[in-house]
Amino acid sequence: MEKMNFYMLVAGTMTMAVAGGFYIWYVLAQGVLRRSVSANMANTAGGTSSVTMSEQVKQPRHPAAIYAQVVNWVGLVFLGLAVFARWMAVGHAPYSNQYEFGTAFTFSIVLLGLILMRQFRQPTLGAFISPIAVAMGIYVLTLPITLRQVSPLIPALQNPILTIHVGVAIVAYGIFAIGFAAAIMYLLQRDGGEKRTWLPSRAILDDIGYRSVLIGFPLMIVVLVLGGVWANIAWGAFWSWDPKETAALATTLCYGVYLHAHSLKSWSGNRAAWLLVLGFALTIFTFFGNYFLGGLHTYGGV
Amino acid sequence: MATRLTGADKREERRRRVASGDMAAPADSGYGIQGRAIPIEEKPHKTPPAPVAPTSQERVSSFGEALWRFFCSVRLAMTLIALIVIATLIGTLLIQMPPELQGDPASRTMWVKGLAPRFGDFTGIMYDLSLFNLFTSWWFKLLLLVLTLNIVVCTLNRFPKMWKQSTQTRMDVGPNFFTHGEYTATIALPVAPAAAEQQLAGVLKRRHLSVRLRQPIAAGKDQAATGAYAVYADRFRYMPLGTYLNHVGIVLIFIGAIWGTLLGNSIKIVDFAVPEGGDRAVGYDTNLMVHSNGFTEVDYPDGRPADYYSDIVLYENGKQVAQQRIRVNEPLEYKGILFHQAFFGNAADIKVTDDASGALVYQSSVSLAYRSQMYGPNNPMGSFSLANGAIQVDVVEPAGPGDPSLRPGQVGLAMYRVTDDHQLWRETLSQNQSVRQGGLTFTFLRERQFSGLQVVRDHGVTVIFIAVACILTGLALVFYFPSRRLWARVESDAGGAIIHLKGQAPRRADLAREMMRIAEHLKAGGATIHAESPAIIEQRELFAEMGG
Repeated sequence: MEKMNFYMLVAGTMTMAVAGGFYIWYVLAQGVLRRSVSANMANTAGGTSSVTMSEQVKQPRHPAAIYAQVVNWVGLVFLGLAVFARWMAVGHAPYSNQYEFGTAFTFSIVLLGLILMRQFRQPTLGAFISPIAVAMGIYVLTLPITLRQVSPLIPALQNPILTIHVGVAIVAYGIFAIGFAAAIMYLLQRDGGEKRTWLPSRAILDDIGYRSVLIGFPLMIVVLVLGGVWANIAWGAFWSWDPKETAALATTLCYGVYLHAHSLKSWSGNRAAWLLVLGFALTIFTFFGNYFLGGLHTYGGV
Repeated sequence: MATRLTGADKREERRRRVASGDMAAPADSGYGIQGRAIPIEEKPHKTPPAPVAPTSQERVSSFGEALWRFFCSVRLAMTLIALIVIATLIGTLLIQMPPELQGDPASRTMWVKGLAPRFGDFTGIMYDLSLFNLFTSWWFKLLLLVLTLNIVVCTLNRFPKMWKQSTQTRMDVGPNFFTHGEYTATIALPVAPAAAEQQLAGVLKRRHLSVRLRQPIAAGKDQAATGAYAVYADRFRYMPLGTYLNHVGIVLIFIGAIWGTLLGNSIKIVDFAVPEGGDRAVGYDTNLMVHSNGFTEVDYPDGRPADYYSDIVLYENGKQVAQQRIRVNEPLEYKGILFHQAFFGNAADIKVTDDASGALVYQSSVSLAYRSQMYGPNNPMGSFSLANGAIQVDVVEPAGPGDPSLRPGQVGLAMYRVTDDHQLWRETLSQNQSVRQGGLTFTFLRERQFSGLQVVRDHGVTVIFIAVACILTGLALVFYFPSRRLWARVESDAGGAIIHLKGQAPRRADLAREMMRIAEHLKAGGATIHAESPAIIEQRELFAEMGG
């Protein structure tokens, strides 16, 4: 099971790299395709009124988008099997060290990416999400081999809250990765003038980013609360300014600022998008916190 | 703007802008809280008053107003949260003083001196700025306090209007209401107004909106009213109030954090060590006594701890009231007091007898639960007092197998005069060995383990959990039940009917989508869209872009 977990992770990471390639191909093709389509439309359609915009010609989807989606689903299956195999090998939810947490994080990014791409019908997102997932996969694969060995839980971690606390954190981190991808695309897309044809419009990207925080922000609060409940049972204090919990709080607060910024006219747009970028930077900081922050969460580290 | 604003107008204007919290909601959305809930007619222009010098009373009130304005800004909240984020990041990256040192100036100074090689000349300044005890520093607390004030003022400022919005919505509106706004639509139907109204109400219901007003507009009220209908529908109209639940929750967290201090009966003993077979009184206002029946540690084959637990018995006024095996994740709770298994270590049984009389002066297990710079930072030590506290005896254990000063199984004994901290003597003892000093014989009987407990009573925790419930409920309401309100006016128009629609909602994208859907439904029933706000058209385009 241990070996299967590792092979599945390797396969998943490689598959995601291929999926990323297809997504990038799609994006590149989209740039060329859209430009010619819009040129045609400009020639044929004279005065299109705003009302008939909904009846605009449905463009055929480029085959690269379909390949990308299929390969992405295969990658998801590999990563899912990796998490499952690890779960079976260690006998509890595989969240107790950086290797296990990283594997689940990669899986979460890919799964949530697929869900949001489906919901918003924006395969372009994949070109930005896949590289994050691949980078995370490579990071996990290059972790010291000692972390891959199955080791039993130390007493402090022997609590069912572990499964929910870390499980929810993984979903939150994953969705923030999607928000980050949307924010980067938002910042790349031009505001006025001629829009970049290979990117979705800013309004959609803003909506995706906002949705990601609508899901991730409450989940982060759940993570903090569960951590507090657990700490109150285990250590007799719901909050102790432990570095990792403080970093998680900073991350949550950053997204809190984003939510306020998004509702302010002067702060929505570019500034809100930068807050999403900063928020994900803090998420990553929190994720790697086990390594250099010390404190009560150190058991997951090197 | 054609007319120039006078000073008073500008003030008024500024006040209104601030009162709205600078929210991006459209001016007439009702959520921006501009003066009135729903502007029905254009506000008549005020005649500019003649400028007069402000009286002292006015100056005072304008200062209070300025203060109020300062505290009710969303920008202030954002700035404060950003500052808190920066502070917490510094706090996570920079080494923080262990909490047990906070109360002891001597060890604090020593600890800070130890940082000098790392931070050089900046050490002093950094210490003065409380960067090493950031989370307990006055300026960090000040930040939290200002944020709390900010939230309270913002909430008080906006609540009455928001409450009115949710409870007393103006449902019948005049024709001018539909002429402006970011979310309006005009849709024509080839049927009589009565049938069109019927159709509209059906669509609204299908979109899960509750239709709360359907009435013919009385003729004579306005010119176009003959055969016209007014319709009002909304969904999740109380949900925006969830935002108050969030913010009340945040304030409650701060209250909960200091609640224990306010009540004055909180207990927090972090170093409650009880030797195996020994007793220790909890103290404070309790008559509780903890007895340890033993400490057990179970290791995995690789040497890492698999489990450790203490079997403890709790006595109140000498009567047994509780008994439990406590583990890290399984504390004992009695009358709101929690006994946590926190740490463990060795205890030394020491006996002291008087040489002259042979009387027993002291016999007990001394838990070696502390560290002191005096004996080395890794040597566990404990102490006991003799002669009514005039003399202190420290007992020290080796730091590990390689400790050059003490061999495994040995303990070091050192006696101090408490008044001037003067060391009287220091000796090393093996098991069952004795030493005679100053007319007393000190014997090291044996080693045993102690259970290190943490004893806590904090009523603030209940407040915190209520606060958390508030925040999560509030977030769920605001995020997942987006409210929306829709007004419609159905008029007769050249053999058919024309519907004027207008919507308001705090979440704009949702509203645009809703109005687009309603228009689509009506279109499926034979309607044609005459006009739509740009925001709805944009949504329609996005939808097409997303593939329908």
